[in-house]
Amino acid sequence: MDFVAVTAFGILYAIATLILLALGLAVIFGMMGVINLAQAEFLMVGAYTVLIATAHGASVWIGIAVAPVVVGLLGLVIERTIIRFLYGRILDTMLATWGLSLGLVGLVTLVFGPTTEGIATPLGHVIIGRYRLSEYSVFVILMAFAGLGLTYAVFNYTRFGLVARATMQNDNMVSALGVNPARVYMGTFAFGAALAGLGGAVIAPLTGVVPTLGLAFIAKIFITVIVGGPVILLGTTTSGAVLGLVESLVSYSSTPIYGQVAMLAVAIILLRLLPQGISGFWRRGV
Amino acid sequence: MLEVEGLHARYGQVPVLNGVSLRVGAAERVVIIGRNGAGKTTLLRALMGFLRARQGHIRWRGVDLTHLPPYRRARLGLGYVPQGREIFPTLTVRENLRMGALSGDGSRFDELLQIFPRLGERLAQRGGSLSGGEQQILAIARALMGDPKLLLLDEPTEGVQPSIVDEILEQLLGINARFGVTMILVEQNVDFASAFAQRAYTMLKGQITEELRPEALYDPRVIADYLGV
Ligand SMILES: Nc1ncnc2c1ncn2[C@@H]1O[C@H](COP(=O)(O)OP(=O)(O)OP(=O)(O)O)[C@@H](O)[C@H]1O
Ligand SMILES: [Mg+2]
Repeated sequence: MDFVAVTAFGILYAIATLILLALGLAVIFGMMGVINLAQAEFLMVGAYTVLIATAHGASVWIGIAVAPVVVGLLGLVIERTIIRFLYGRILDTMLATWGLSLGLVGLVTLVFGPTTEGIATPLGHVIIGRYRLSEYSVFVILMAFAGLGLTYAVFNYTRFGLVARATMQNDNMVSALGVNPARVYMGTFAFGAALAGLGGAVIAPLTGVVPTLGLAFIAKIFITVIVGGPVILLGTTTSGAVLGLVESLVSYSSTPIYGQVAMLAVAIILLRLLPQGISGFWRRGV
Repeated sequence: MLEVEGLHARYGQVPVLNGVSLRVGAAERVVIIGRNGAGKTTLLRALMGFLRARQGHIRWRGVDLTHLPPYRRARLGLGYVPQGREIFPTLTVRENLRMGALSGDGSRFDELLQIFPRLGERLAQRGGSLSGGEQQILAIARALMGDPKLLLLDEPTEGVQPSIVDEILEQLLGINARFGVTMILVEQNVDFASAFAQRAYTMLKGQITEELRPEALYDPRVIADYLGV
């Protein structure tokens, strides 16, 4: 019984982290169509923000609150200096963001060194029978829900969200209605970066912080967003649930390597059956 | 109000507008007719700023628009109803209208719903699920939400059933009278064009060739020269 509860919790945690880390990419790639290979580094910079905050005596919570701002601003600068010249040019975007990814990893390694830095995990533990669960992982799950809810609300209930959705459909028409689409792309990219910063910050105390932190996740989150399809939030959530479930179930019953192989296999099968992604045939929305 | 002089524009190396000149006064209703490919859409797109003017200039209420981007022109009071409507298909009717109100304050909303009752009944429906005629009405209402002083309409009757065409005509005339909106209509439907316009321009190969009174649109020579199939 305890085992079942703890396993179920582990699965839920795997799903939640997948969704939380994929959220920013769902906006940047799912919605805007920008293949941002530096997305992993957005997670990484978010994690380092928490490390720096705690090293200066601030709490982990402060670090988590500041990370989206830091990475959002970083995203803003990157959009203005690189991305905005490359919209619609897939190959150029991939090359540029790949270079950016290497550059950011190199820069952070230069400043902070290549070693993994730990951040003391806040909160305590709960005991379930013979098992100990960290309360912080409950917080991670809650943050995944919060991130989803926030993103949903921004796109559905704010002026910025409305304009962003319209711009992704027809930016010329948006400009004929008096809005500068370049501004909208800039804001949407920065918002996606901020979400990635939040994700990286939230997982930092559990994963430890290292310049290559994002590499472990980049493939997974791209797969999750691609399988999710055009309805970015519900699609990413659904695909995160399916893929996270498969990965963690197989990992528990064999090894994490097989878990990742199983995840990839299921993703390939899903894309064979539903080339547009899980949400390809849904009524469109965010 | 609007003065266009010697406007040239091209797609890549292909010249499409070859020196267009025209003048439209305040609250005037003007139609531009011409065959497929004459450059009518291109002219409206150039007026809206989607196409760079290679020569010539566009002046609107004393302001030189020639090199302003579309969103600046929209903020200066230009409204655009494109050929093919280009409503936002996954946005609801209400959201489409809110998009139209971005450069204004949205105070037109209730008033416009009275003028376009079809939209009021479908506010929560997605734009893409409307019929062609309803989408056309939505595109017009969306443009009007921003309180434009000059409305550019590109073939609003194209692919719209006759009963709705009559409805659109009445609505446009009503709006012109009520809000004093200047209107430039591009049209190939002679009945609609002559009932709508106070003045007509003909367009051929990227140039304005004649200025006519609306009755003259029924002249067999005019039909043969500018609308004949
Ligand atoms: N995006 C484009 N790229 C290249 N050429 C174009 C483009 N759009 C239009 N053209 C060309 O420009 C010319 C004028 O086109 P335009 O759409 O302005 O004509 P129109 O008078 O609006 O015709 P219609 O009555 O069919 O709408 C045509 O020869 C057309 O082939
Ligand atoms: Mg046309």
